[in-house]
This record gives sequence, structure tokens and C-alpha cells, in this order.
Amino acid sequence: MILLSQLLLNALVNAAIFSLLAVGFGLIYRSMRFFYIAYGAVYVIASYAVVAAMQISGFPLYLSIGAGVFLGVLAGVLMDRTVYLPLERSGATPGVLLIASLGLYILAVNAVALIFGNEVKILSRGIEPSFSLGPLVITRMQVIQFLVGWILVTGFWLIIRKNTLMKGIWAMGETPNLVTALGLPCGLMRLLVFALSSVFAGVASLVTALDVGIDPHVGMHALLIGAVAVIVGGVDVYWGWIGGASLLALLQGMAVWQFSSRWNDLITFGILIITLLFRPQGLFSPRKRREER
Amino acid sequence: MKGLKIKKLSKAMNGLKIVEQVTANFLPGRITALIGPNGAGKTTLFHLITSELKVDKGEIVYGDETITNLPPYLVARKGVGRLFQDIRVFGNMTAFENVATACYGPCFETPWFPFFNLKRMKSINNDIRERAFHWLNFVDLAEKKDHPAASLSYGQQKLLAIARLLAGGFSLLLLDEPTAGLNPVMIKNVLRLLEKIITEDRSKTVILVEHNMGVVNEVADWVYFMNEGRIAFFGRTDHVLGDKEVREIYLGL
Repeated sequence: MILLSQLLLNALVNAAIFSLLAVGFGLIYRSMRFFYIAYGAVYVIASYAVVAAMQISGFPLYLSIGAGVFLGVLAGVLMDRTVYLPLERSGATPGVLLIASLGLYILAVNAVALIFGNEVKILSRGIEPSFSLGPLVITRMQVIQFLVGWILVTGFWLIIRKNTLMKGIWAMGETPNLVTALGLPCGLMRLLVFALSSVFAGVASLVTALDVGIDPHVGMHALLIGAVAVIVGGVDVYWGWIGGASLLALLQGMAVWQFSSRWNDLITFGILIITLLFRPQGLFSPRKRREER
Repeated sequence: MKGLKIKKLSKAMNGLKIVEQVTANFLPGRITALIGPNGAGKTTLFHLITSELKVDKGEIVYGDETITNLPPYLVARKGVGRLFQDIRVFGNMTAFENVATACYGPCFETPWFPFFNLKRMKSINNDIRERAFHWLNFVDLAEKKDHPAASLSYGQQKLLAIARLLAGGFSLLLLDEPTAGLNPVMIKNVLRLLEKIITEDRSKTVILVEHNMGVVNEVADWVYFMNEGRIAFFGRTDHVLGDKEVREIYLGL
């Protein structure tokens, strides 16, 4: 029972991080409808920027964190301006964008591996102080992850809930030509979406890296968590993304309890396939009429 | 009073001349119809005016500003609004939100504007709500305001698109087959609407692409007849529709 409660507690912390990843991915997926693989690259770049700032330039931690998020945002926005936007302007299909995005991801990960090496980089040394809640234990870093994740995700929702700009951005995902025909600047909205998405990827990356370190290849894992959470939860519902992320975290926790953590990826894809088969619009989306599909 | 002037406009795609040396004048307070066989370049002309396609040669002047090849959203900000041939609504959004989207323009001066001007946003949002309801009422869709647009019927979606266009406050309306696919009652409604628009606000310019000659006859004051990318004929409606060549090429009479 104690083990189960401990795992549930851990799942709650993981759910916070997964939610960050889902919101970052969902922002792009809902507003541009393309599968943003290079999201994983942004994730990796943000943490390695911290590594560079701390261990090479000797910046203090809080400055490095700022630098990490900033460079992540810069990377995300630059990728859009130099690759996706020109491709889209020349009439590229979503398939082409997907391949381009995969290319960017591979490019970025290999560049990072070349510069920093393939091994895991540890950002914080020493043993994390931990607190006990009765029989349960939670580390300081987990508390930080929990708070940062849930505060950001909820706060962002409060800001965008009734925001006109975000409505325009969601509309852009449905019919981009129509949005420009109504006088809304797609370029500006894209810029904002990529920047915001990168902030979420960067923060998720940093709170994880400060706990367990970072290696160049974790980006793909982060991307998959974000993407599966969004698709499972339902693309057009903000809390669906969070629901999807929480469900993933919970099931992964259960898998650790019953089998071992090696089953995690199987759980992730299993739930994706089951959802796509039985409820393709996502678990938390309202059902659609037949003619709307 | 703004009118639209098109001067020697040309556009070729894949070596094919789609619009060639088109010169036309569209006056405010008037409904001008653009007719012609399929593939004559009518819709392409609309694409060129709204900058969805780049102009090869020529000039488009609206009021006293040149709008040739401006980014599409800036063309829209100058007051050029368009109703698409394949009705386009935001299917996942409610009817109300669909109309409201057309009023968002002013909130987008900077990407952070809506986040940091909360006080002004409140009054802007109230204004948007009022306008959106007004125009939903105007097309008789008020009771559908909370329904997702995709759940509306074809004709209702068309009316919704028209309401959105009107809510946007555009002064030049490019209507691409506004009555296609509608039932006779709906067509009457749309025509009444068009007449209402133009009589209520004489500064509006309406350009209509239409295959239904009954509609053209009823509402249009002036007609341009396009064939193979060129303006083949133009003049008063009865004059053009009565022309022998037009009747042979287009009407098959």
C-alpha cells in the first residue's frame, strides 16, 4: 500500500512534467497541424545551453536557467523562420514539413553530441534533500517539478482561457488562409506559438535535467510523451492534453509497480493505439457528428 | 468613398496565362458582377486582389492606396473582405466565435497586446461581442450561436460566412458564388441581404462572381464578362446579358 501511494505521488510529479511537454507540443499541433519532431531538439538544446552556461562559462545556476530557456526559445523560433515558414510559403505539404522537422531534430542532436559528447551530463551534484510525508518520501527537486509544472500549466490556462489572441491562433489551425483573409497576421501568431511552445519544452527539460541529468538523445522520448498525451487527450481541448499527460504518468507508474520501468514505452504506445482505434478524436474531446469528421 | 481599380493585371501559372491584361473599375455603392465560363480566371482575379496569389504584372489600387502584392492580412486590413467559393468556416468553433474572429484584427498590433492591455481588451471584447451578435442576428442565426459551425447545414454555413464578412467591417466585398448550392428561399435571403448591405452603406463596393444569371439580373448594376483570362465585354447588366457574343459563348443561346 505504501509502495502504491509512493508510486502515485511520483506519478503526480511526473504528470506535471508530462503536462508541460504536452502543452508545448499541443500549442504547435493545434495551431499549425503539423507533427513537430524538432520539439525534441528544442528540449535538448535548452538543457545543453544550461550545461554550457554553468560548466563552461561558469554562470550561476539561476542565470544559466534563464539562458537555457532563452536559447530554447531562440532555437524554436529560428527553426520556424528558417525552415518551416519558407517551406510552407512555397506550398509544402504536412509530409514535407514532417521530414524537414525530423531532419532538424537529427541535425541538432548530432551537433549537440559532437560538441558535448554522448554521455549523460549531470547538472546538480550531491544528494537531493528530501522530505517525508508520513511513510512517503519526496525530494526537493520533485517538489520543484511538481510546483513549476502545475503552476505553469494552470497559470497559462488562466491567461489564454478567454484570450482573443489565442482564439485567433486556434482558428489558424483550422484554416490558415481564412485567418489571413480576415486580417489576422499569421506570421506574428506563429512566432508567438513557437516561442511559447519552446518555453514549455525548455522548462520541462530543465526541471528534468536538474534532477537526473541530460544526454543528447532524450529529446525523442520527450517528444513522444508530449505528442501521445496531446493525441490521446484530444487535440482541441487544452485540459485534454493535461488529462492525456496525467493518464500516461499514472499508467507508467502502475507499470513500474506491476512489472518494471522498461515497460514504459510499451505503455505509451499501447495507449496511443488503443485510443486511435476506439476514440480517434481523443479521450476528452466531445464526440463529433458523422458528417463533421 | 473607395473604389477598386485594376490596371493591366496579368498572371501566368506553369506557362499558362490565366489572367491577362485585365483592366477594370469597381465603383462604391454598386454591385458589380463578374461572369464568364469556368476557367475564365474569375476566381484567380479574386486571389490576385487578396494577394493569395502574387501578381506578375499590373497594379491594384484600392481607394488611393496600391495594394498589389501586400501580405494577405494587410490587404484584409485595408478593408478587402472575401467570401470563398468553397465555404470556409472554422468547424470546431461555435457560430458566435466564427463571427467574432473577423473582429480580432485590431487586437493584433503586437503579439503581446492582448496579454498586457487587459483594461482595453475588456472594452474591445465587449465591442466584439456586440458586433458578432448583431451580425448573427442580421443573417438569422442568433439561435445557433453556440453550435459548432461544422454542425450547421450548408446554407447556414454560407450565411455564417457572410455574417463574418460583414462583422469584419470590410468595405470591399469579394463574393465568390454566394448563392451556389443554396435553395431558392435561401437565395432570396442572400439577395435581400446584398441589397440591404448596399442600400444601408453606400460606401461599400461589392463584386460578385456568379453563374446564376437570374441573380446577376436581379442585383447587379454593372457586369464584366471574362473569357480566357481577359475582360471580353462590360457594361450595364441588361446590355451585357443581351449581347450576342455573350449569349453564344456563355449562355449557349
